Amino acid sequence: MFLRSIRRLSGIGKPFKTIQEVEEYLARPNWATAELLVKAGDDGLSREKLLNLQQLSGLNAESNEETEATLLKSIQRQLGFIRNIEDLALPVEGSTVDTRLIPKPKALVFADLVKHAKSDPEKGEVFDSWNPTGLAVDSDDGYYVVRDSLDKNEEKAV
Amino acid sequence: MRFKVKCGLEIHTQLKTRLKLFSNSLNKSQVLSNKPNTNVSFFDAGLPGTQPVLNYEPVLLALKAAKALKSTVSPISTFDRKHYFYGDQPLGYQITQHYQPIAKGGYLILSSRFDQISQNKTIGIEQIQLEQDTGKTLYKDLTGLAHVDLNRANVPLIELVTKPDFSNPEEIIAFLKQYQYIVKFSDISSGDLETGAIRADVNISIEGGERVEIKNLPTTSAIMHATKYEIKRQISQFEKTGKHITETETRGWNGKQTYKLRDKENAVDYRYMPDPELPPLVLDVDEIMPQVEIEKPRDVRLEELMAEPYGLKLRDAITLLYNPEFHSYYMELFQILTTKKIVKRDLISNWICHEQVGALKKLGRPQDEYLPARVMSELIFSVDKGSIGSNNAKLLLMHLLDNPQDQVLPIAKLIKQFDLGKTTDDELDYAKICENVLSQNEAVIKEIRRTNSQGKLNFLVGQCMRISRGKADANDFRKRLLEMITT
Repeated sequence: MFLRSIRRLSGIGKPFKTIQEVEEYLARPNWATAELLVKAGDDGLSREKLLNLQQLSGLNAESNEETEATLLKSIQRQLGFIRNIEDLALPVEGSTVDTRLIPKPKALVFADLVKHAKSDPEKGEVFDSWNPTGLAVDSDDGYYVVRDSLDKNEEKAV
Repeated sequence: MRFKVKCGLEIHTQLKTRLKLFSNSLNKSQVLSNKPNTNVSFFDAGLPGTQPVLNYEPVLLALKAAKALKSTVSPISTFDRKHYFYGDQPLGYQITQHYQPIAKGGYLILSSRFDQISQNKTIGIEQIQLEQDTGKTLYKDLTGLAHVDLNRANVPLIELVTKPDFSNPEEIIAFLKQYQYIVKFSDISSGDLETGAIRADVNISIEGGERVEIKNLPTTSAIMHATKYEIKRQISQFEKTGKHITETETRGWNGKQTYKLRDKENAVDYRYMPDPELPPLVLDVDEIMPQVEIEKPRDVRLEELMAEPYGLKLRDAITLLYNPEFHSYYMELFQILTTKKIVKRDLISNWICHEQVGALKKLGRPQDEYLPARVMSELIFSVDKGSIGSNNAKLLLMHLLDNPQDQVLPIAKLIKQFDLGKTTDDELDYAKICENVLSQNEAVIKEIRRTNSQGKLNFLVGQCMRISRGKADANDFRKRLLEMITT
């Protein structure tokens, strides 16, 4: 999509005469992010899959047909967006590293690992400086209390 | 019909670090008496606005594991978010290394000599990844309320994934034992299954079928029995229906049988995404790895203990290998006794690894309350030079363990005081005792002549020792009895 846009921009047409013309042209984008929300040929997302996703996300799955339809449509659009992004041709090397917001740091050597092995003062945390359950709405004998049933005990992922 | 079985392991190992993985709170995962929610930072509790910063100690320990398993360390590894919702995971995702783990490949060789398996086998390693542990949820009753403790949240783990190279449960147990040796003795983890420091999931499939994962197996015994049960179940299902298992699923183990927990989630279900808050971990691998120190491989250490000068049997070598304190005790005694030029070397291992351990067990005492090395060495030396018979030495050993105040006295003095010394031929008529015993056991003599039974001969030796009240040498009686019976 981005590449197509670049091709559109670089197409041969009437030459610009002033810098204002260039700026005006660039101020009128001829593509919209909305385009990325549409993807032809999407396979349908089933109701079962929706329920599964709600369960995995800890969301209430008790909804009516109208809500389900809205959710399905929304997820479908998000999936379309992701598929559009996935279709972009990226250089293979380093592409997954570039998905981080933080630039690639310099390589660590053994001395770096040993020097900072025990603590990192840059974190600025003071140990034991707060009561972790002090802000909880519900706690009991030092524990957080969660409304959860026994049967989920067997459904843990780790 | 013979079915080809394929099993693989996923092992989560808690790392023995001072701090957690991405925060400054202490990693006290092995302190069981720890009060709940006392080692929790803002980040561990998932408070908005907090961000992870990687500690390097877990990285060093993961590199040790990679080196011991001959894995290839990646110059660049990255952290990703694995999303699933659970009360004890306040971030809503686990930070793991899905796309670019810290190490890939590697192997561990199982040995028919040391691992009680029929033939040598190489088990391939798929990858090793760094990740966070979750908190703990405790379900106390059926009220629908659960207690959550976040002390364990963000404790560093390595997840080791093997290739599906195991053919039976015995190989799985052998792998786990060797893996435990690696993490324990290279100081990577406490390595205990029982405390949850190591947690293993087993993947099992029979040829042509999809794999089934069994989760939360807390002991080696549970791993052995659950794997055997699941293999039988899959084969039996195929034999009954003619159909293989067609969908991957996750099962639990209740001590008797496996049971379905859910269909196994796939990568899409977990909605993996690169963690945008964590930079890639970039390592100068060539510079770092030669400096990462690990313990010698288990097989090398066992071979050392079984070779000269120790000459231990495999069973005793294994006992010493897995008990570092006992190992040091043994080495101290061995040094003292070899300086004294002890003649019968087998006495050393027999008295340290068997007689003393057995005596402590009989007395109901902890296994590490052994006699001081000086006292034990004197006792073994007295047996070696023949000052005391082995039966009376055992009695003296029990006495010394039970009466620590006597441990300061010389062994020779105690032998004299309790009249436990071995008698000489002049003091005790060996020949007469043997004749008496033989005259009363003619049927036994015939049986020995007919079958050469060692058990029957031992019976006669026992009779002689009883008459001499344990003060004679059993071997002397054995030689004389044998001579008299066969001539």
